[in-house]
Amino acid sequence: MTTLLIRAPIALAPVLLFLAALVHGDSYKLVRLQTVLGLMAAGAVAAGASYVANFYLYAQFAGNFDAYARFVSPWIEEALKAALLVYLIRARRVGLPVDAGIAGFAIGTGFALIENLYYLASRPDTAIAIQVIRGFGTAIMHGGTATVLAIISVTLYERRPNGGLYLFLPGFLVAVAIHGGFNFLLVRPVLATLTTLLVLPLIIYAVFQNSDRALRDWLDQDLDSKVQLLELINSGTFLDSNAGRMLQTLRSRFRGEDLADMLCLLRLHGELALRAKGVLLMRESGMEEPPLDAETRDKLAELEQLERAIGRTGMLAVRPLMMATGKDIWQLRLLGR
Amino acid sequence: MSKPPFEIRLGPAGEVVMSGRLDATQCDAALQFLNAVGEPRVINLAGLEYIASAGLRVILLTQKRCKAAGAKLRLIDAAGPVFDIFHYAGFDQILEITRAGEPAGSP
Repeated sequence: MTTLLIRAPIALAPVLLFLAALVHGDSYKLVRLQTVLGLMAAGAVAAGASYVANFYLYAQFAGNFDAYARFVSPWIEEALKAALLVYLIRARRVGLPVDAGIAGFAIGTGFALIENLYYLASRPDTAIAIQVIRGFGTAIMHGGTATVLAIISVTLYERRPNGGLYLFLPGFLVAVAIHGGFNFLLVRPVLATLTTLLVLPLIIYAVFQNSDRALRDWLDQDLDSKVQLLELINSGTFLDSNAGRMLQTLRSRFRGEDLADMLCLLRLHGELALRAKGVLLMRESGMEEPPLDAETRDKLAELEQLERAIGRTGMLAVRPLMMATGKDIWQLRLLGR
Repeated sequence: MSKPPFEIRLGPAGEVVMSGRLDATQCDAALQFLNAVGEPRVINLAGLEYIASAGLRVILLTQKRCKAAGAKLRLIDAAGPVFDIFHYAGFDQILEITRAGEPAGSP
């Protein structure tokens, strides 16, 4: 027990530091520490579930343990880690490669913590150096595969906001391939760890850098276009603009009051989108953001009411006018929607 | 019609005066000027016709610097559309800002 208490922190600390670096590197503070801890706990639960699933499936498996670890367990473990990511991305709880990546790494870290503790406890006689190397490599691998899955999936969802579950397939297959490849190399744990350490953090770092730049560009462009939209609506010239003419083409399909609701929705969505961008700008500048004010809360409630009144078909028709991509829908979550 | 050029200078009472369009192409110059002023207390936005997100960043960074030095930044005389941008972005909750024609300190 004492050996475990000494060895566990040595084996687990590096990956926790890597996760801390990711959270710290998120200049827009998109994922709060509390959320990271919650996601780690969810990852730990996924590890428990995968232990049970692997226990029963291995009993039915005809091959040896190495073959099972290479060809079967990666599918199960990656699927269990992905389950929460599927929810987070589809519910727009995460909307960018940065926050999706951090969520993925946190889930993977929680998963690896439990797996490593099990490994340390079940093989107390293994040399500490091997345990540390294996523990670190496994943790980076678990965090890395979930991160890669999250980043690929959230990017595909941004392109197709109304897409189905099939959008998770490419990321899932890449995660399974990396995991299986790592398990292939596990007969030589130093090589497996070194390969993982050299490749995955580099990919994650490059994606984060790119995502930060992309978010900044989007922030700039979208803020300006929302300001222009609001200027058009407030000045009463919206109906003469291209977007206004598009709205008028819906006259034949919707009632007058529905069109009025759509115009209100466009204005409200524009105002709330600007508020969300204000939050992002404050975070980026390191300013403390004020608590959500009553006016914004009322607007969020009104937005929901308008969406209900307009209905599903109306929302589909008006969405192109709102320029509502995945990020547009996600950003309102920053306001607590 | 050409866009009004962005201009930033010190006013007669020592306030910073901005006019024209503060967009991404002008924010470096604006930030440099504001940094050189030291602790600007008042920025007069009467002549500012447009402010982009890059301009909002400039204001936020200046406010942060002033706050760290224990000073308070006031934005005064913002024209309607510029005031609206600050309001929609929620910056009126962290900055003291008044609309053109409105006395400073009014709600």
